[in-house]
Amino acid sequence: MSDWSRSNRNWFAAVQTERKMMFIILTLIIAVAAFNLVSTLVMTVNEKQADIAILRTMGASPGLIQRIFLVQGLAIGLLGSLAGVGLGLLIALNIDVIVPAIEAIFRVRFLPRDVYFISELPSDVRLSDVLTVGLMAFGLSVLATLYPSRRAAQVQPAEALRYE
Amino acid sequence: MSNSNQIILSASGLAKTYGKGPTAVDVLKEIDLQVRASEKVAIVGSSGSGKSTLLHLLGGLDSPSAGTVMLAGQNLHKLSVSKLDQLRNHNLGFIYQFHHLLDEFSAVENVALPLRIRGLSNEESMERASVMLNAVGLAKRVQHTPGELSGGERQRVAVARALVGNPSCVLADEPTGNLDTETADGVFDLMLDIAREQGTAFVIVTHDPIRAKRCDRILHLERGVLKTFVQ
Repeated sequence: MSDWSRSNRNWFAAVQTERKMMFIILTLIIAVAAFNLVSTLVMTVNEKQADIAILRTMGASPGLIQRIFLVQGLAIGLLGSLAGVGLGLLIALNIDVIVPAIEAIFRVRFLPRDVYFISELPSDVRLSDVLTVGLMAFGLSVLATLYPSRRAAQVQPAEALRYE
Repeated sequence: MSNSNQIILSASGLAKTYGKGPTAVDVLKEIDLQVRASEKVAIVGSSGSGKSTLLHLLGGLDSPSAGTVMLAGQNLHKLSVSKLDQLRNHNLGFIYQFHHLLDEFSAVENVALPLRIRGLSNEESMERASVMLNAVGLAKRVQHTPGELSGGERQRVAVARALVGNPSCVLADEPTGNLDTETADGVFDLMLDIAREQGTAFVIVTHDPIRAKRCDRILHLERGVLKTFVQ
């Protein structure tokens, strides 16, 4: 018995390595995006120290303050994930138009016929993939929100107002 | 309305020290203070004498190094955070030199905040906030954001916000310190008028001796010690 992956063991291994590298690169991109959300929210919390302090003087509990920033982070995360999934689907479903267009503009061929078995970039949109990626993005944004919102809840009103 | 002899807010043996060891600074030493219902107490003192620290301690926003603060019969520094928040929401109002309104919200939304935090419905909160804004003479400015209001108007909104929940005591930290004399007079008169109507006690930190004289009592804070002011 022999199959494609055995008879072309070296090629197959190269494809596997490429897949792993792509996974690492994409994970890093998502991590950068998540850190971006963390730093944006931390900056918002720092900017809003006085507002947080004033809400505390009115009797707002640390839990309420935390929820305010959680909701803000989740709203950003949800909108971002939805926009990402939408754009991703748009590109995936129109890849047959987009790739030739890019190839025409930059005068390159991504998949030369004489090198690869296939000459077109196939796109197979699977609902399970879309859901996994969407939920992963949203889940990461939830995680990114936890630290800034906890920081907001810990703002000491007297201290924040003293520096105003 | 509360009995005018009833003590609303009291501090005994209150002290606050920042830092430790030889660099420690005693900001407040052995402060004793009693504020009765609908009483207006002015606290005067030079910059850095600890006036703001005293107000923060009285409001339960900071914890003292020694001593106790009693508000509405409860020791502030022995309450859980949630109980303290509730007590503050029901019994205290704060006014600062800078209005500290939330820029993103309209005047009426800012004033409604303490009521929303209390758990009242949006409709009821907004209605009571509108009535309060009407009382401070800002009926036509209800939907304006702080950026669209003048300095005096913003401070009026801050007064309305402090009083909308009908607190038993308002702590004001130089409430007119950032306004010109005429506007400051207007805001100060307004504060005292509403306080009289609602029977709210006021602890007002001020630099201005003329305004301080309009209060029932003047206390002088000097190097962390509170003294009754004698002319």
